Amino acid sequence: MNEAQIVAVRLAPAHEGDVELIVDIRYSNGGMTQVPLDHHATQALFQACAAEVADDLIGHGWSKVRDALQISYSRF
Amino acid sequence: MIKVRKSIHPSAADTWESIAARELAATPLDEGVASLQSWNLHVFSRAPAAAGSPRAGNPILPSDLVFLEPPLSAQ
Amino acid sequence: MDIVIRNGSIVDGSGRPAYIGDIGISAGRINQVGQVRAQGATEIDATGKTVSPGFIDPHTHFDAQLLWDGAAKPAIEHGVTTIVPGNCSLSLAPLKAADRMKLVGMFNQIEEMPLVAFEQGVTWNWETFDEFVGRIQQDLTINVAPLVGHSVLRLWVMGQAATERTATATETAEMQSLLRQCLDAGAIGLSTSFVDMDEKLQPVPSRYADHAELDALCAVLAEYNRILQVVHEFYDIDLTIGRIDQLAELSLTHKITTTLSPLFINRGDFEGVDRVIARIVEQNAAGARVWPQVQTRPIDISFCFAVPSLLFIRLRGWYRVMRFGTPATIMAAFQDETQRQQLVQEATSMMPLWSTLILRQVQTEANQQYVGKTLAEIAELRGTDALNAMIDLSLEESLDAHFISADMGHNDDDKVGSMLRHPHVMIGASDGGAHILSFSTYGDTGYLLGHFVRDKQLLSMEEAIKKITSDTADIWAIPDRGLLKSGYIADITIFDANTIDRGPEYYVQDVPGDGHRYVRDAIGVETVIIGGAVAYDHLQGYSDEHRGQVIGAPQR
Repeated sequence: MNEAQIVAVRLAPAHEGDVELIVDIRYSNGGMTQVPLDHHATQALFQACAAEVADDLIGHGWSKVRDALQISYSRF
Repeated sequence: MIKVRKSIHPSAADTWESIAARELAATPLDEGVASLQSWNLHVFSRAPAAAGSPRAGNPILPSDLVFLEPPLSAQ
Repeated sequence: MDIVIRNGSIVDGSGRPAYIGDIGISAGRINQVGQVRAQGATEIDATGKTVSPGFIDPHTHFDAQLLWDGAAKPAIEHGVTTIVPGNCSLSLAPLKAADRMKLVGMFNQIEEMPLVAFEQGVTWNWETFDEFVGRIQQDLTINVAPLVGHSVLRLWVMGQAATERTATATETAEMQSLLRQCLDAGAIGLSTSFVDMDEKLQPVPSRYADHAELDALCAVLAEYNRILQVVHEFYDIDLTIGRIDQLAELSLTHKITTTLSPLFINRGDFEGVDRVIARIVEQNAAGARVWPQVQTRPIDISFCFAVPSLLFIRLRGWYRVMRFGTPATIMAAFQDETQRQQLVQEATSMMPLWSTLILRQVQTEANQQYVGKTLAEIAELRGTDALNAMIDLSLEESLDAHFISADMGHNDDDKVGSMLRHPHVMIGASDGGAHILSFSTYGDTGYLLGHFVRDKQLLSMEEAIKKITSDTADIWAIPDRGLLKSGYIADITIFDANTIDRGPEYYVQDVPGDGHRYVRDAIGVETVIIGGAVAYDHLQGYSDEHRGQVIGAPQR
């Protein structure tokens, strides 16, 4: 089973001077990872999760993050 | 020694399926692929290879680190 | 003596305590340190000033700039006498004519070097590394220790296939041979990237290499005792640790030095940073040489309303406007009285943030007077509040008003300071010459000596100078530099320890093709000597001396 899901979101400064969204994902073993999303990936994730604000993303599964990254990086 | 997450350098021909079959042999293939993908979201932060490329449909690069387990818990 | 520096506080780069003394220079080298009786053709009174070895900046992207500016301005003004370009798998040689635009696209995406700068600032008259070295040596004021990029080695040998597949055994052998040629011509080492992408978000060529290819190239580095630099997945602690282990394996196998950059230290992730450092310590104890680079300056973030920013993501109304809006609809939202009131009401709770934002760039003449001021200051001048000032300025500038929020990350002084002084950390990762349209990458050494040494007292002056001079020279195997020692090359920085700092960031038009970039002036750096001649003086500016060398290149 893959129960990994978003448990927290926060903003962080990115290396290039932009702001990025850090999505904290917790796995079934209690381990955590942080995934940085740029504006494009965030937009895709918001759409997939029908979110209006960042906190609406909490509780959604990891696969939506994967799909948002794919959509963002396929934009060219 | 600090605990380090188990990982591999994939071979050039590796796919999610081949890694799951080899490294997570005791797990059903679909479940193994899903687990690998959930542990390796960094692999999706890149444009897909163009159609006709040897890598078309496979986001994994030979220089990647691919984790074989989830992030370690704090305990 | 050609030059005698007298009565300075000598911080010689070794870490030994400062002492008052003189330095005599002749024939490009330090001739005497201590008391110098002989008269110099040029006498420099350094009373009350600090005299140190010139600073070495180990992570830069000045590659393109060196083609039109052999001083890599403003690096020297900040006391830097040696730069390492060619990081992150990208160098401008070896490069076949057919691959030039491919590489330009990568430089544009990764380092924000405008295409027009290449078109108007570069005469493409080289292909091999040796020819490139000859090209930049013609007019060099600063010393250059160039890395050769793994991506360009692949492009040279594999062409289009460099971004499609792993190399064959024959191609790997060709890359080894090519790397040898580059090292013979003066390359200080090899750089590779596990994270960079080109302008179409496709991974750069080095990312298509397998570990065996990198291992084969490291075997060549071992023949020359040269270094491997990598840019890794710095946003993830587990990946960073995985790369440390990979570099440790390469280091132990080939007995080479390796470095990875950058390592950021952000609040909320100190535990992760501590794990990274613990792993570095463990691997070094096992005999590996793996050096993480930590930058001194904090991370600033900037935005304008013409480009969507996630800064507004926690404000439902604002983010809806940003996310779905075009510049025209964003303008309309700001102009509509009702909608503007709603937006202002929603964002008022974040007034402390808006108040500290600095206006960094506008287009109209009328608003130039406000550039460099905080929104709180501007609001006071305009009789409004910071939030409304931000909206008004954005409307007046058709959304092309740029704001910066300084000091947003990598900004915990105690934690960053402890990393900067850590014996297994290299101070670097300035990215000098890169990201020129986003922020200034100059003045990190002034920030180190002003902020961390003088103001916060988290490092001693002697420690800090050692970290950016002799330590760097040792790690990078740069001979005869990094110490104020008899026989060493006379690269020397004279500065006022009471005032040294980086100046405010500003926007300047000095890139070929009428291009712009953000820069910072130095504060407190008085004289910079390179190769035994004054290269820069704070009163006279740059001299006509061109004593810079490509370190490791054969004499021409």
